[in-house]
Amino acid sequence: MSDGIPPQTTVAEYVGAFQAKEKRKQRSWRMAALQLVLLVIVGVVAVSLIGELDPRVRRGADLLRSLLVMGRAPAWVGVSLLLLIPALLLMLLIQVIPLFLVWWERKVAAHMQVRLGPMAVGGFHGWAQTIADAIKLFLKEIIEPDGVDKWVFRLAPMIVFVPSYLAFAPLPFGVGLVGYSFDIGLLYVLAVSGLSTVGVLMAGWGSANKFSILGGLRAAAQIVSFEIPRVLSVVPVVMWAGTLSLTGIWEAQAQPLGGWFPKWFIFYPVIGQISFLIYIITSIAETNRVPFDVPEAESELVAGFHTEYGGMKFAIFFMSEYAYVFAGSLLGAVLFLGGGSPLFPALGFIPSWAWFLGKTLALVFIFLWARWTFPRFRVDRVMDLCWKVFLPWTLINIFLTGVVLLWRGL
Amino acid sequence: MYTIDVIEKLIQRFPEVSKIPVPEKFVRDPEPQANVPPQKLLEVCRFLKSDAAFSFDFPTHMTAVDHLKDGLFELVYALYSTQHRVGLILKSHVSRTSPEIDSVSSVWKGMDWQEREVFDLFGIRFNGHPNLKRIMLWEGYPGHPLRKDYVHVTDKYDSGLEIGTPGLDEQGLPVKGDGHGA
Amino acid sequence: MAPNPIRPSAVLQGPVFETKIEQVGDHEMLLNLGPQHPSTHGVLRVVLKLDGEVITEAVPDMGYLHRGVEKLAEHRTYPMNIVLSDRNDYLSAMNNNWAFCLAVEKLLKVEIPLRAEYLRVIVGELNRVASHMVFYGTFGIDIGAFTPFLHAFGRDREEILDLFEEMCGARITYNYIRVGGVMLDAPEGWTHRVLQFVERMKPRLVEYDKLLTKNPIFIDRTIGVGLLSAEQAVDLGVTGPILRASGVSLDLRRDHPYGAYNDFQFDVPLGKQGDCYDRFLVRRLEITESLKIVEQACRKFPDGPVMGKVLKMYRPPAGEVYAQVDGPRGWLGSYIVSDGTEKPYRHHIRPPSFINLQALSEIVKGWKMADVVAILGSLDFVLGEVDR
Repeated sequence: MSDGIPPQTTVAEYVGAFQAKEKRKQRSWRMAALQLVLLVIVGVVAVSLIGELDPRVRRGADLLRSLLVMGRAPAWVGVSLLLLIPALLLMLLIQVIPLFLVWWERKVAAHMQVRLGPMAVGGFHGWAQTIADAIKLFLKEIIEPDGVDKWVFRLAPMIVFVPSYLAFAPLPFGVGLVGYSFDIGLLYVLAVSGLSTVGVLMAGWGSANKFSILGGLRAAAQIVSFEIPRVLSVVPVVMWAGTLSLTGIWEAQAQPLGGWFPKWFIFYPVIGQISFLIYIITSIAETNRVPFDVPEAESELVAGFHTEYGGMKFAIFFMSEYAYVFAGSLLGAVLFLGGGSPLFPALGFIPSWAWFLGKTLALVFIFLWARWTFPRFRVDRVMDLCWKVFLPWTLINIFLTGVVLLWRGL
Repeated sequence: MYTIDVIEKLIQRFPEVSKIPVPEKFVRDPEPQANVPPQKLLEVCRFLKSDAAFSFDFPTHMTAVDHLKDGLFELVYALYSTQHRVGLILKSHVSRTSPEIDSVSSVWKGMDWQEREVFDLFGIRFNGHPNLKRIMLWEGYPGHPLRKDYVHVTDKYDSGLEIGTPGLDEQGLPVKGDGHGA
Repeated sequence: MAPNPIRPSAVLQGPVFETKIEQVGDHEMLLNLGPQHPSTHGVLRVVLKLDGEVITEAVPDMGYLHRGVEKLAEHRTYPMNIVLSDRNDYLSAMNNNWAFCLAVEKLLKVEIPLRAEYLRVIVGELNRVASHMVFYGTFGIDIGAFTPFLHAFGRDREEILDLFEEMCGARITYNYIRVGGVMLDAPEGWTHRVLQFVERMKPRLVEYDKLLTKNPIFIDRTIGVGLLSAEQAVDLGVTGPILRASGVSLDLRRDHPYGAYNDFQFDVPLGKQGDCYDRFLVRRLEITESLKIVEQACRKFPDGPVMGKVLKMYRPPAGEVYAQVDGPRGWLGSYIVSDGTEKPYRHHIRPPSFINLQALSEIVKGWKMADVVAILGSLDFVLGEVDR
């Protein structure tokens, strides 16, 4: 056993050496805490030195436009490039975000479970673990069982993945860092997220496997049902901000009250908290995560709707689930946590994209935390919860918001 | 857990049941055993369960022993009464050539699978059993393994190293030069 | 688009995989909770007839782990059989050894020293705690909670296995309890470490309760699910925590004590209605009781030899004997027929998991797919014992 203890002759000596090693490890916990604090300070300093990205993006766009004018390119080239480049950047982001999120989930899960998580691949705490996993998934053989409905089976992962990518279009990442800013950004995001259900149903049906069919059925029931409380829970935000545009909602929360208290929607008495809670819980349900992961209930249905998918196809399902988690958290940060606005104006030197990232990761942490703490619900209890608990509460919430707004307007 | 009086009372009611003498070499808790002729087994079991003085409602276990030299299968039924907290062992003998006996699964449901296991491994048929099929081995398995005269038929699951298969000598060591999967 | 027929070459030649359920209605489907599945604890196949999500019939199909232990026993001497008995219920191997040794000791008429009896009780109860921790963890996973498994199985059970490794060199299949006593004496300071372990477990049991026992989602999933009434349980021959959860207070350690159990004070937890939550709670409380027994035994630990007077190659006199212990899964018994030689003529194991599994087809009717997994988990069987 290579536990770093030199061979001893009696059990008592071994026990003594072991206890000495434990004491040394305790001292190194304090070192680790100190390292963490230093890391945070260094991070804050670095981020504030980089500053707002918006001016640089604008300069880059102006440069591109002037190059095109110089090269006397027709107008459509400029327009399409200015649309294409953000799209490609978002695509890149969606490939990279799951890499980080998967690693972080494994670390969070491990530390909650009295173990360490990935430690080897890449050296420091296994940061390259997901890259290794992605390469492995690329190289795996794609097995198509006999009896599947060929095109349904093959198209299902695409139909699940594409809406997760489309949903990022109006989501802001910082001041001026939006893929394409619409007036109905919120409605667009919520609507497009629902399109993936078709893909899940296709995966369940096309797999020619009874476990997959059960998973697909459950997914259809759950995802479609939870859309309703999710959408209704953000209606109070819209009522209060007066606009469906995400940048507009963010700006409505940007001015602190009395010069110091953040005007984030989550701090709105009663209404803010109910909306936030219901939004977070229904988002967890929408992304098929424990405690609502009945469609892919591992211990019951082997892997539910994606049982028969391996290799790159499974990677696509996996990637789109993490993209949805990130999109749901980002939307939550914009709607409830004030988007890119700082907690206190004194902290305004930290740029908005860093605030966005921090708030989104805080919400992602709630997603991860819930997964490793709770057992899963049974499918009929999930339906009960949705229709008998969340829906009435969202309606009460909307009513209360209406009352409050009317009273303030009077 | 065991008392002799249970058997005495049983013999009073069913004279065909005889007591198997308890050897003196046991330290503690000798299990008194009663010998029941196979035709009377179902009746005795029903009586033992329903009668209030006995109320043997709990089937502990049941098994069979192959006595090749005597040409008999001995069936052993161990019972327990949760009310009176006493146990009892019943034995019954069937011949090896036509091993058949009544099933007691109608009296205690817990004997159901145990009778199937005895059927599977010994070949004893239980009349009146609701689903007498092999339970451990697959349908179509040749022979009944726990019999003393069972000879294994080599099938595709053998690695060639089992005792008794060609390729091994009397002590179970592989014969030199034999390429049996070793 | 024409449907794709399954090519017959894809089916293995050989024994046909029987479906086991003949009548299937129009709106019903057959589902194999197959031999390979994350939740059947071991290789067990349960053929389910489903109407949507509701189970209408369930037939367990076992035999995947049948190794012919009873046939092997006839060709091995008694000490070799102790090694073989470890592998039946591999999660609580000490109790298997103990049942076999109790039976042979009856035949051999050998007196066991008190220190050996105490050691048997300590390791038997620690093994019960370890086995119930595996149950706690795997039941959590079946219900969907992944974390308690690592706390119970990965952290606490490892400490028990470390204690056992110190004692007899093995972690799972111990071959420690021998005819006449135990194999080795406890090393120096071992009982002290056991007592420290018991002390460390007390706050951890509180943690277990917070994670699962008092979790509303868990309670919602298990209360009222899979009811087994007391009459059904007794008629089926079900023993152990399942019987006690159904309300029948029967425990061999208290009612027909063997070994040194007369010297210890402990309660026997009892359930009310025999649902999954009761079965879980009975086992969870049994952990506390076992730790109590271990603590009492370690404090009162007598001195003396650990092995009685037994020959190396013993030939028990001809006769038959049946002895049983109350293991974590139920009454584990050994029925031995000896013909005077050094190998038993017949060794039959009374397998608690096999007999408990008969209850499955009764309990599961009318419940949903998710409940089948919960019920299977709550029955806590070990395939090594079911199939032998």
